[in-house]
Amino acid sequence: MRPSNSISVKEIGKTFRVYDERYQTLKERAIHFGKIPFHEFSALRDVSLEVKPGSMMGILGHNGSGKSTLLKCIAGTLTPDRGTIKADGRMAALLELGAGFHPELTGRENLYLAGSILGLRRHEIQDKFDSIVDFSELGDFIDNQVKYYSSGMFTRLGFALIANIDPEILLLDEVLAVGDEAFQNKCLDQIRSFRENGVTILFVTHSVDLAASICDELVVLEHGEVIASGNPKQSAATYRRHLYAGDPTTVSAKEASTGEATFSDVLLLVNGSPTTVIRPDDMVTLQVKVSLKKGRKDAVVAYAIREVGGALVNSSNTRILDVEVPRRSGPFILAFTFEGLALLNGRFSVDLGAHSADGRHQYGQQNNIIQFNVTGPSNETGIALLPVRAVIK
Amino acid sequence: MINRQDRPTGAFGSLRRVFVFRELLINLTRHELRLRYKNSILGFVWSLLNPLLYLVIYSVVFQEILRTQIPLFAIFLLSGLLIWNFLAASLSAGAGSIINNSSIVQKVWFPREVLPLASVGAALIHFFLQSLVLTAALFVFRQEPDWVALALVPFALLTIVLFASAGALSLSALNVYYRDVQHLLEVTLLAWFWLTPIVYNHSLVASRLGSNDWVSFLNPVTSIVLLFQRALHNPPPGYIPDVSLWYYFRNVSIIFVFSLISFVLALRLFQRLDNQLAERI
Repeated sequence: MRPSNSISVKEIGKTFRVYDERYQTLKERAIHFGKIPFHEFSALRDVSLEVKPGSMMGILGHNGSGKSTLLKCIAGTLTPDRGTIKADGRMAALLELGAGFHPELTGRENLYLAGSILGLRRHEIQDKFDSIVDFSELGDFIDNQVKYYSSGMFTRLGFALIANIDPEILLLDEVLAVGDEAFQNKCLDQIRSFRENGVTILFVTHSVDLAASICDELVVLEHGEVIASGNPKQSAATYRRHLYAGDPTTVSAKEASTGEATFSDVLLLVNGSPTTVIRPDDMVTLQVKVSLKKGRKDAVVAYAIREVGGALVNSSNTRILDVEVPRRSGPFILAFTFEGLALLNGRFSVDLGAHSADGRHQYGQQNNIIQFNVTGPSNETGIALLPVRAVIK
Repeated sequence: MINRQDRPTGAFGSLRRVFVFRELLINLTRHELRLRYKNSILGFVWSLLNPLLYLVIYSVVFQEILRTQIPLFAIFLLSGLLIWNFLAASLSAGAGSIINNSSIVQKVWFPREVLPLASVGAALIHFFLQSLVLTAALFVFRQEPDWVALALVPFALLTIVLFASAGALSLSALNVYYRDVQHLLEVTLLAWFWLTPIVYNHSLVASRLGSNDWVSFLNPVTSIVLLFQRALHNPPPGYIPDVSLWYYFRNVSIIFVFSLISFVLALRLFQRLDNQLAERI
């Protein structure tokens, strides 16, 4: 029996060449004789997954973990170097805002264009045109060039289109990240109704709770590898563990923390004096005394700042920051200095961890080791303090 | 439904895929025409004005200054110029077609061959628009075309469409890899224009070359242009290399075979480069 509207991905790999310097002209290439310095970056390594007909699979992963590359491979815009992909059925994709809109064309023209890319005839789009515009709530903006659209409008139009074309397979990349809450709910309702109609959905998101609650299966990608799949609750837990391990480079911390690293004397310093109340423009130093067991020469120490009970705000480690942990035995003082914490008012906590350079061994981890408050003059809401102003044009 | 992971094999596979997406081809052609004259007051009237302005310029230079003896110079010029405009527009728009549509190439899958082919389609519609100017000129000068030779015009047109498509397909994909292509093309087109007997009489070249005049036919556009001139300008003997239609038919047939082979090779080349287009843009 031939499976209908399912997605089957078998051991695909995708490697990008990152050119250290980009020579794009013939002359430059001739001079360098084709030997352009580059290094290879594996975006996907032997990724396999099966999405059953009519089911919904979520994909979680850090930025750069290969989620979007995977979706683009399935959508066909990228070709994997290895492996096979089978996707039977009429496929619609919303990748990184918009279903492939041409900036110079109006929303209306783009709907016809995108429709024909999806294989619809002109009259089919004509029949659905009004309901698409209704769904998008764009009103008269539909006759404006889409280059003047906001990211929210872009997504509205893209989602409105796919909501009206009866796809059999749907690829969604971060579609719910933009748009206001009302529209997000509308999209979620639409996704639920797709599910009821047996549409197979592959869904990339950063929202762990959402993914865990609406997906049948959840896959966690990290460094182009699948590190968890199946039961959404368990996958979400794995993802959270990695997220808060404080290190985006952890490959798979299969072994539990061994207690070989301990952290003490944790301080947040502003102008040299310890504090737990910080203004956004303060220069802040996170200082910690790290004790590593002997022989742990390749250790990487990481921190993670997160909103208490909420999202990860920022995480980095000594390798990313290009600092080598001292090889001699005995404790040492490590300081991370932030030029400023561009955060809005709220309470934040810090996690610390240490692991081997290849990320396979956890040496030690302590979550919520210190908490601090940010108090600033801004009345914006959210987490990040962004330099913003408004003008009427 | 075409499985987007199945890469087509052979030129026929590519063509079949383009046929499935013909609606997209039509839409892209339409948009390309519309975008060209977006925010312009005269709009598509420019398509008609363009050959008229060229006509004025070349008439002044060649008839008044250089004293060309070609009778009905306007018709002579237009019958070659329109074909040239079609080729030049196809190639230069085609070369940029993938790069300029990166916003859709990187987001959705469709056979990318459609993009350069839409450039050729838009150029072809321009050609027909500009033919109105030529038709008007025929009426104004009360010039009757050679009806028998005119029957060969569709064949010549098909040949140049194949040739332009082959060029647009190859250039569009190569341009993604080497941006030099579009700059090189600009210069090449200029030289190519003057190597083609559009503003001057081919017999001038032929008489100089004598028995070596086959050299001038290494330029594939020459044969096409000559047929158009023979059919529409239909000048007295002495201004054209040969009067017999067989001569023109044979020349265009050779170019037709050449264009067909080029077209197949261009589709194959495109298939080879296609895999990395989205990430190379």
